[in-house]
Amino acid sequence: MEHEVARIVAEVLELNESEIRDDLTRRDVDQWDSLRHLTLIAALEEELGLRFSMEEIQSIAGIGSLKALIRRKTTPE
Amino acid sequence: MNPKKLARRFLIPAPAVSLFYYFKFGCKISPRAEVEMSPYLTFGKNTQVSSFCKIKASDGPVVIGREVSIGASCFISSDRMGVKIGDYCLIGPNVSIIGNNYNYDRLDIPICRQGTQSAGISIEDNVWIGAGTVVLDGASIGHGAIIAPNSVVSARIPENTIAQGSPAKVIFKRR
Repeated sequence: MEHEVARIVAEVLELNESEIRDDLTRRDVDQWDSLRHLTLIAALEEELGLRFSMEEIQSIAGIGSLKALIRRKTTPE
Repeated sequence: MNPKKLARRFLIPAPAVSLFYYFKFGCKISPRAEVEMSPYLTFGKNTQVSSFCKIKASDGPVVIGREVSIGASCFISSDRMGVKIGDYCLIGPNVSIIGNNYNYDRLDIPICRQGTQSAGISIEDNVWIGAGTVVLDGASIGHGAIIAPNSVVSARIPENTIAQGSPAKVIFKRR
């Protein structure tokens, strides 16, 4: 799953997969603006079969929080 | 151009036009905007039109709803089928809304002499249009939609979506 997320993020943000580290934040990537953020969410939802709420979308500050959120949503309670 | 239209366009000072529309519809039009005095033009209450906008409504209706905010330097022109903008819309600066197209079927006549056609433009309530966007004839934007800056809208944008690009495509559904 982690590899899949990195692949999608790299594709949407036009980065190399090797650049996708957990400490990478929205501030570090110039092209990660509000529109690209929504494009990324749409791509993740489609490819991973998930659904994020608006609060969850706004809480994503970087790769670390994105992965944590996806982990939470994909782990059965 | 007929003399009435000529007089409306050139002889009425802009502050008088602003006052006329303020008393008629309760809308606030900057005296620096160029808004035609036309029976085809209607505004809702508390709508604002910023400086350097141009609104032409000599050939078809322009109906603008209430509490609409139109940013600086926008251009709105209508033709036979009109332009309709719903309530509570936000229109950023430099947006062009153009309600007609030239015909270009014939190669032997200059395009400017082939006449125009109009399918009309409909922008529903609570739409936010980003700066620099162009809305072309035949476009319709569903309520609650957001258009990203510098997009070109030429077709239907469904309600509560966010669209971007030229031509504008839906990139996200609001929730």
